[in-house]
Amino acid sequence: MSGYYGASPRHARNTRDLTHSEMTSPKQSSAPATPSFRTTLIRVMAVQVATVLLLWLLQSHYTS
Amino acid sequence: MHALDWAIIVVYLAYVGIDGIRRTRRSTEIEGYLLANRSLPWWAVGLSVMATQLSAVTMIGTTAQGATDGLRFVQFYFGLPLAMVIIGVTLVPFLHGAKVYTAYEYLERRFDAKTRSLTAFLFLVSRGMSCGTILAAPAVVFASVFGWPIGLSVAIMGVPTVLYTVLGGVQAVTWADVKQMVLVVTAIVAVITVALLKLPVSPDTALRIAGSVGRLRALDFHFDITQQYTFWSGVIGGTFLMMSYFGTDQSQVQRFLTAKSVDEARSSLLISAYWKIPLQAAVLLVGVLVFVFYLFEKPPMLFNPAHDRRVREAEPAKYQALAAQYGAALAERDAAARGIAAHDAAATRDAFRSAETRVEGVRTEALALAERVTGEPSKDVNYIIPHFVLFDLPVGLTGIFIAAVMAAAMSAVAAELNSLATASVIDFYRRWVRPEAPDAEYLRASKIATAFWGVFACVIATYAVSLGSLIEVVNRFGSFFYGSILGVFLLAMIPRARALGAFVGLIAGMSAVGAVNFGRPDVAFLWHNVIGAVTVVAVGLLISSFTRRS
Repeated sequence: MSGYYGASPRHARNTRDLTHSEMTSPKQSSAPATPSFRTTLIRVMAVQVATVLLLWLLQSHYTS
Repeated sequence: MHALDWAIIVVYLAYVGIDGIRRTRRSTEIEGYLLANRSLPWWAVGLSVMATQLSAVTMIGTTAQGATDGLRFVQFYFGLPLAMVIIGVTLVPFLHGAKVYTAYEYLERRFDAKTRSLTAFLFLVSRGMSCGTILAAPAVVFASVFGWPIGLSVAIMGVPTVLYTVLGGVQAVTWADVKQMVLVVTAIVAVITVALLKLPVSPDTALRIAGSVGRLRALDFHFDITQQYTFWSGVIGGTFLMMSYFGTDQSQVQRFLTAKSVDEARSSLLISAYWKIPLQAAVLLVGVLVFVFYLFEKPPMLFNPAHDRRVREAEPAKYQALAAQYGAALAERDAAARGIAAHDAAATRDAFRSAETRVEGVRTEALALAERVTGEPSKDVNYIIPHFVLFDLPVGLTGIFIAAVMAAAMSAVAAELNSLATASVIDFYRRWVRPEAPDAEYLRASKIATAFWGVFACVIATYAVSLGSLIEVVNRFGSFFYGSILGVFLLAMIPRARALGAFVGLIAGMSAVGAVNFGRPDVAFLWHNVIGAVTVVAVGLLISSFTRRS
């Protein structure tokens, strides 16, 4: 990318220049498909909801 | 302390130093030294991410918070899982795919050099300072407990850390983190087990006693921006803080940049998403169990042994009088706790709460006396766990826990040093001073920068004593910048945002946080992250719209 002047040509070999749309849209870089994000989100949030529920049960059972 | 405990600590310190030196040969090029040639497995990166975030402040400060304040601090982490998922699908593909060394390099590609340099500079200032406080937390405690000079206490952890970080680079840091994380989790599990075994009451009764004085109150659903830890500040403010910390802070970004692929980088972050809250709850539970343990074993009136010694010498009569009152209050509390164990009812719980208030009343008087005598802040919460570890854990486990505290401090500091050096060399030296230098020169500069930041951290650590509650200092300092830096990265993902908008927005975000901090100091610091990020995005988009029209 012409606007990038942070690396020397030697170091630029190791970098992949991105287009403007790649820099602003995760779908056009190597972002995951939406379903896998949903699945991940559901799994992670399920674990967290279970943890919060457990803490709530602990609190409501033992705290007077 | 027993010789076996000392042996465990010495062996641990020697091992991390030697292991770091062993990894020197794999770090002979700049990409290997700073990014491990992007070759590390996801689980090692994930454990390194967790180890970096879990410092000695967690082992000493958070456990103490569990003992004095209960489980409610766990709410601070409620935004973390969602933040990790969002980072996984937004920033990780950008940063890993762009093959950058630092997160700030990406900002120059998207905006301009001044935005990159300003964010990198803010990172260096905030992380350089916090690196010192992370090292100071255990150093202050060790100095007081073992009677070491503070400089020696800092050096015992600082020197091996700087040594293996300078020599081995990110490979040494990551693999040391993996071992240190295993040591930390082992120590936490072992302490919980031992604490439960040593209690004279059943776990159920222990929880009933702790619950009667609110130690198991983990959730607070009140929406109040002046309360530090509520469900909402954790979920909303915490999400912004964690997104900023894990997605834009070089000390964390550098961890996932070492992963083999974008998918492995994402997987590494999910380890924290799954395990962080349960782990923090376990850490706080250690504190709660220690609180219950000291209901049946006599705790000292002043947990800081240095202060205890000085008050005893300077004001012997007052000390003895307070000690007598303290002994009587403890006996009363012990009886009240056993009363709950025998018959859990409203009356026995009320009696226990009254007894607990009396014990705390005497302790408050003793702490005020200590402050008058020593002229230093006398809050001694950070000495509760070290006292328990030294005097109440079995031989061997004491050494393991102290080694774990050192491990937690060293893993956090090593990652910070490594990332501070990377930002210094890549974002400043290579960008502004020597853009065309050979690889060997950057490697040498990185090692020198690591050593420099190591010495800087050690110096800061020796002066951090007077900064008050260490855990809050670290988080509060970060919150001044985190939200605004996150705002710039969020702007980078909005196509119509422009460079001038990002730069002005960043300054506006920090000004807004500063204004709120000084104008409304009662606003809880987690909300600073929301204010900073939202201001940067709003101002940035506004300025960008004018820029496009012109």
